[in-house]
Amino acid sequence: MKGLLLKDFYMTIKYCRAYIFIIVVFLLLSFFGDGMTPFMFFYPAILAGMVPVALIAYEERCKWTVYSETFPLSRTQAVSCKYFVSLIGIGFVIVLSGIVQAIRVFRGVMEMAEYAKLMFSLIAVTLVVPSLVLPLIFKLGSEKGRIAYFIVVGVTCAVTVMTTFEGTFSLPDVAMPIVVVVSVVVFALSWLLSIKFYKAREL
Amino acid sequence: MNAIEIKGLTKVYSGFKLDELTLTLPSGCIMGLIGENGAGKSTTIKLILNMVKKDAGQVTVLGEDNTICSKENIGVVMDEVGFPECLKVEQVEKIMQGIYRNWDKDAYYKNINRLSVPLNKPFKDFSRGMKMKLGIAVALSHNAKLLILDEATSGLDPVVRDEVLDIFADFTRDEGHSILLSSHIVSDLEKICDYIAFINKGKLMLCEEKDALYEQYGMIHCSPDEFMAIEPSAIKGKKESHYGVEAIVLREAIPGGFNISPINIEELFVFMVKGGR
Repeated sequence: MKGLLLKDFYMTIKYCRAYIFIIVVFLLLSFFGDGMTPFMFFYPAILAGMVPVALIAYEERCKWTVYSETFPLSRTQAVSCKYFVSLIGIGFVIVLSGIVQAIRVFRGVMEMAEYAKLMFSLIAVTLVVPSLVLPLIFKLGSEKGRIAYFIVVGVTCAVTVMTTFEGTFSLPDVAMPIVVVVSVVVFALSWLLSIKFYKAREL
Repeated sequence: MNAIEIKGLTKVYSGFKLDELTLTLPSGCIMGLIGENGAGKSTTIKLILNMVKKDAGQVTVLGEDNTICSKENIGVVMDEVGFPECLKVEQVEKIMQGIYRNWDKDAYYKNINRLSVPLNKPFKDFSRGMKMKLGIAVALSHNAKLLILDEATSGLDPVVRDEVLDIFADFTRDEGHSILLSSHIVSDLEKICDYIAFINKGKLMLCEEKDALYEQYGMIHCSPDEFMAIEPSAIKGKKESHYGVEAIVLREAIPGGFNISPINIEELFVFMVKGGR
C-alpha cells in the first residue's frame, strides 16, 4: 500500500500539477470576493475529486492496472489507495478553504453561521463527488466512467447551489451537520462498493 | 515440490477457449511455453497469476492454490511493462520497496547496471527493450523463487537477449528457483529450457523434457510414395513440395531404411502447427 501511495504521489506531482495550481488560485480568488462566491469556493472541491479519476485514467493508459496485478497487492488495496488519495485531496481543500474563509470571517465580510454552513456544505461536496464517481470508474473503467463523472459533477453543483444558497430547496442550518454525516456514510459505502466492483472486474 | 501444477485449466472467452490445460513445472527447472499469437500463452500466464478468473481446473503455485498464494515469491515480466511514464529508475525502486517485503535494493541496482538501464531518463523515453530490461530488473530484485516471463525477451537485441538468458540461467542454479517463459523466439527457449510446452488454439499439444523431444522426434525427407508407406500416427507434421515430402516423425515408429535427421524445437513447433491445418 505504501508503494502504491508513493506512486500516486509521484504521478500527482507530475500529471496533476495543474489541478493543484487551479485549486490554490480559485481558493485565493474566493477570498477576495465581497459576497458569496460559490463557484470559486466549490470548484476546487470538485477538482480535488477529479485527481483520483485522472490517476486511474493514466494507470489504464500506461497498463499499470494490469501490470500491478503481478505484484503482491490485493484489489482491495488498489481501490483503497485511490480513496486515500481522495481523502488527502479532500483534506487539502477543506483545510485551505477553512483558513481562507476564516480570514474573511475575521475581516467581517462573512458571518460565523454562514461560514459554518459553507464549510459543512464543502465537506459534503468533497465527499460526495468521489463517492459517486469512483464506484462507476472501478466498474466501467475510466473512459466510460468519465461520462458518469460529468453527470455527477453537474448534479452535485446544482443540488449544492439549491440547498446552500437560499435556493428553492435551501436546507436549514441545523440540517447541515446531518448532511455531512450522511456524506461520510455515503463515502464509506462507496469505498466498499468500489472494492466489490473492482474484485469482480476482468482486466 | 513442483513450482507450478496445472490440472484441467479451462477459460472460455467469446471466440477462444483454453481447453483443459494440464502441465507441471518441476522446481529448479525452466519451462518454455510456445504458441502462435492468440494460442493462449498469455491467458495461461494470467490464469496462473490469478489475474483472470478460471472457469474450471486447478492451479498450484509453489505448493499453494494460486487464489491464495502470495505473489511475494513470484517475479513477473509481462509483454508490456506498465510503469507510469513519468517514473525514473530511482522512483521505481522506492515504489517497489513499499510493495515487496523482500525487496533488495542492492540487487536492483546491480541488475540495473548489468542491464545498462539509464538512471536519469523517465520511463516514457525508454525503448521497448529498455522497458523490458527494467521489468526484468524488478522481477529479479525481490528474492523470487519463481519467474514468470511473458515475451520478456522480445524487443531486446541479440546481444542483450543472450545476456538476459544468462541471467535467467544463473537464476535457476538455485534448485528452489524455477522459470516459466513464453516467447515467440523459439531459439531462446531452446537455449535455456529444460521443458517445452506447445499450445495451439487453446490446447496443449505436448509438454515434454526438451532432450526427450530430440530423442523422440526426427525429420525425414522422402518421396510421396515412400511417405504413403509410413503409419499416419507416426507423422506429426509435413511439408510437401516438388522435391518430395519433409515430415516430422516419431523416430520409433519409422521403419528401417529411412534417413532420420535431428530436429530443432522451432521445426517441431512449425511442423506440428501446420500439420494440424
